[in-house]
Amino acid sequence: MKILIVDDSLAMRKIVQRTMRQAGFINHDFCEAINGRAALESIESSAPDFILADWNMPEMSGMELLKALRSKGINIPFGFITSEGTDEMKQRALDAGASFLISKPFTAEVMAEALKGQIR
Amino acid sequence: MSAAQPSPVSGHQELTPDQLVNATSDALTEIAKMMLGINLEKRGPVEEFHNQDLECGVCIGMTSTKGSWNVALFGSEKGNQAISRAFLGMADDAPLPKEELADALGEILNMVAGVLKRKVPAEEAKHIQLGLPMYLSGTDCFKYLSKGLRAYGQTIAGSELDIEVILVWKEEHST
Repeated sequence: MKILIVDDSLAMRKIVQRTMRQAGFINHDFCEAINGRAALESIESSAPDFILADWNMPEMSGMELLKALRSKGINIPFGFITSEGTDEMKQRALDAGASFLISKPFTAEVMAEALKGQIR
Repeated sequence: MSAAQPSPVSGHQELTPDQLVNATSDALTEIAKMMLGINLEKRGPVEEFHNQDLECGVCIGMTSTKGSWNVALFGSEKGNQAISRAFLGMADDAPLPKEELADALGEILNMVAGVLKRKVPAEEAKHIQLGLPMYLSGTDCFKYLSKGLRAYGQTIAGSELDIEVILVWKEEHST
C-alpha cells in the first residue's frame, strides 16, 4: 500500500514512518506532503491508499484537506495524528469522515491499534 | 530566585503558575519517556526565572478567550542537540543541521503544548489556540526574557544523556 504522510514538520514525517515500521507495517511505500494544499495538489499523481495527516498546518489544515477530498468525492481512508487530541476534536474528525485520531505523543502500540484493519 | 507565587494564571482561574509549569514538566517527561526512550526528572521546584544565559530553545504561544501565555523549552546547545537526535533516531555524532534541530525541538514543544491543553478542563480547552513553535538562539533568548514579563522555570535533567532542559512559563496579561 502507498501511504501519504502530511505534516509540516520533517521530523514528524520521519517519526510517523519509523513508528509505522516499529508497529509492524513494513513493505509499504511512503510519500510526503508539507501541508494540506500540497497533498491536495499531488493526490492524483501520488495516488495514495491511505492518508495520515497532522491537523494544524500552515496554508491548509488537515481538516480542510479531508473536507476538500470528500467534497471532490475522493474517499481515500484518512487518519489524523495531532498534538491536540481533545475529545471534541476526535468527534469532529470522525464526523468529517476520518477513521481515527491519534494524539501525540504516541507509541507503536497505539499506532498499530489505530491502523489495525485499515492498512494490510 | 524566589518561589513562584500561587496566584492564578491569567485565563486559568484554577491553575497557578506553579501548577502550570509542573504540568508542562510532566508533559515533557511523558513525551521523553514514550517517544525518545529518555528518562527525565524534575530537579528542584518551580521558581521565578531570571537566567539570561540561555543558549537556544523554542517557544510557543497559547491563547484563549481569557488571555494568553507562552511556554518554552530552553537548554544548552549540546543538550538540545542530544534530545533532538534522540527524537529523530539519529546517532549521537550524526550531523544535525540547524533547520532540523529547530524542527525537532518545535515538534517536541508542540506535543508538550498539546498535552498541556488536554490537561485543562474540556470546556476551556476548546477555546485554546496553539501558535507555531519559534526557535530562538543567542541574543533572541535574551530578548525573549527581557520583556519585563514574569517567567517561571523548572529544571529537568536526564542523567543518561546529560540533558538539561529549562522550562519557562511566561505570563502575558491581557490588557
